[in-house]
Amino acid sequence: MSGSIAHYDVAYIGQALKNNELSQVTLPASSLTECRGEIGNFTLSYQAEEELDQIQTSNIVINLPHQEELPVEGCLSLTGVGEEFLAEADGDKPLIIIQDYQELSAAALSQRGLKLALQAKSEDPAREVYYFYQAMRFMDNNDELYEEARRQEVIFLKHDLGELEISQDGEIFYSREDIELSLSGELVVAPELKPAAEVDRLARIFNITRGPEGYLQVDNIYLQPTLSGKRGLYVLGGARGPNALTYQQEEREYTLQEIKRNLIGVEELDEEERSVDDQKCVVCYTCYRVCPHGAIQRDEELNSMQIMPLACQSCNLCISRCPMGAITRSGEVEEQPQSDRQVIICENSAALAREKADFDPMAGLEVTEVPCVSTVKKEHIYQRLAGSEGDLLILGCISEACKHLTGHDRCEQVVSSAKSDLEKLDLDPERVNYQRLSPRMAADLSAYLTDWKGEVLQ
Amino acid sequence: MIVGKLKDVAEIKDMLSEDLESLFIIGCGTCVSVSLAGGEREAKSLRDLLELYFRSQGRDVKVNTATIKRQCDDEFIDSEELAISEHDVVLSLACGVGVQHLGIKHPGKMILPGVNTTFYGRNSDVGEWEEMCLGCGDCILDDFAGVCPVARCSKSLINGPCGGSQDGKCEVDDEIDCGWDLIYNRAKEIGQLDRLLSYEGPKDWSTARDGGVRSHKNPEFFSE
Ligand code: SF4
Ligand code: SF4
Ligand code: SF4
Ligand code: SF4
Repeated sequence: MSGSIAHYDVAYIGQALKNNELSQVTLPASSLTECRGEIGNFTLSYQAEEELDQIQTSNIVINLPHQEELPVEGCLSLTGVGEEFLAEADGDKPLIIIQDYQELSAAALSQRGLKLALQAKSEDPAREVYYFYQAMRFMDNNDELYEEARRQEVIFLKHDLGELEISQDGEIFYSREDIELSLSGELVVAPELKPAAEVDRLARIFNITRGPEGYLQVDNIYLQPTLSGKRGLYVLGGARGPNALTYQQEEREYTLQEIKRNLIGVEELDEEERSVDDQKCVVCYTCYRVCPHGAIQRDEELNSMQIMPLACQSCNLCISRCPMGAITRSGEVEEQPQSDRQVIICENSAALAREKADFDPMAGLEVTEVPCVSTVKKEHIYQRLAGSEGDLLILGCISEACKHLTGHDRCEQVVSSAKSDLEKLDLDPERVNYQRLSPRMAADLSAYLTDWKGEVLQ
Repeated sequence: MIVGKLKDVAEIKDMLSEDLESLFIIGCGTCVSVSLAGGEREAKSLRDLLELYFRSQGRDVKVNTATIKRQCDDEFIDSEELAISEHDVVLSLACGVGVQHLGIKHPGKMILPGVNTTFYGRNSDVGEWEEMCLGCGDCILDDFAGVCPVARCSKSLINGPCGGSQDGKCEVDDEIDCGWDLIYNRAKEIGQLDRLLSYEGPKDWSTARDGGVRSHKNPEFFSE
């Protein structure tokens, strides 16, 4: 390992973005072994030739191509054909472009298909060009390309699932109402896009959550367009999601701008400090695993966990899940609300909805605002129920609008476990309620509260 | 490590007598903390839940908690000596080892188990554990491509799968992987299939539970 470690503005995992102002390094995904540190100062370890090496970087961009799966073996891929393909084409054979064989394709693939059809016509206006699609997707000037292609007599045939079949030897059967068609020719098919290779491993190395389809960005409004849950780590292309091809240009520009902004300086997101008591920590890794922002790492000297202040986005999920109560937050006060109508609300949704409402929908309720409802421990729930005869309502967010990604699901798990324990002891589980809101749901908030208050008052 | 699961609260409640006046819940800060069953977090939330319950019954029961590093070692328990003596009953959230060790140290005290000690397992996902070893006392992993036939085959078969193995799943429950499917695949992967062909005589179970209660000594600590 080198004595002094080189520091870059940005490290690309996969393909670099064009830029002359940033110092950069590119590492193949397969060589990466570990990531430590946080935005402004990541250390990446990777396998170089025979030995492990390290670099430091302020930002990381994962930019890997989608994996492509062709729906039929042996046909050409719409993403793979270039100029030479048409130049060498046999003009007697029709060109057959299939845009959405099994799945709808991204708008970028519509664009490629339309351009290919037009090029074929300009090389040889007499050539027959068929274009099969389920839905034309629009971006940039796709609509103009489409109109132009119609004028050039490209034959567009819309199909639904099952109306189009491609046989093993590349023959096309199309049947729709009054049309029955069988065709053969040069077949170019839009591939199905899958997450980039190695994303599993990368998710583990960077300790970030993957979405259900396997991409490194979960479906969440706070992450658009290229943010991951971890500050300073950006995901593009086949690492990000199925639509990444369509918005490529915007995404690149956005990412480079963000990186440049980071380089000027990064602030902590919360003035409260979270620290781990190394005498209590049993290094169970629970905090590390649940942190939605990859903000925790093991302190190798103390052999306990360490919360990275710039990476932490202050949800408190780690605090509520630590089995040893080893993590504390400065400024934490043990409050003991006594009111019969207590509400715990998330500052990113219900609190905003409350502000937007014309009258305070929470007047008369004892309200506690938390950075994320994942702050709530079972202990808190029981203590609050013990403090009064009344009810407790916890208002979290819908998953796609949860600033802490999994925070609200985690809270729901805690609430439902608490409810089931209450039930087992013949205590009323209905005294605790959990509801999800989005920030725009001011109206729902009032309606929900009225309802809930109505029930409580009965 | 030792994996545990917090007992159902209703069962815990039923263990406690009607005239109970004080309860001391002791968490254990090692195995059961890591397996999220009996650390400080569980001890405290159980305390708060039971308090809520006693109050609903109009009973005045004092419930306190402490969590110590390991309940299976004397030195860690000493600090709680006084607190233990001041409570009617102790509810230990350690594994069965800790519960009994507390009992040995406090012969006159009622020590109740709050955790079910489930198995020796590995952490397979956040909040999820899988059994890996049965503690048979004579490890034979070297002959089985590193996959334990004793613990991971539901029937502890050591000469190949039973007839109920299907699509990699065990006939006892199709949520369970067939241990022999795992052994076969791993042996193939590391090029040791031929080792599975030799016949294994009956396993000597005397080192396991069948030989009676087990104990052992490290010779470096004893003179002949
Ligand atoms: S959850 Fe708590 S005990 Fe476990 S590693 Fe994190 S700080 Fe340590
Ligand atoms: S408070 Fe939230 S973001 Fe910060 S370290 Fe804990 S879990 Fe991660
Ligand atoms: S008492 Fe049980 S749970 Fe506690 S440290 Fe000992 S073996 Fe582990
Ligand atoms: S052979 Fe015995 S000691 Fe080895 S893993 Fe299996 S049960 Fe455990």
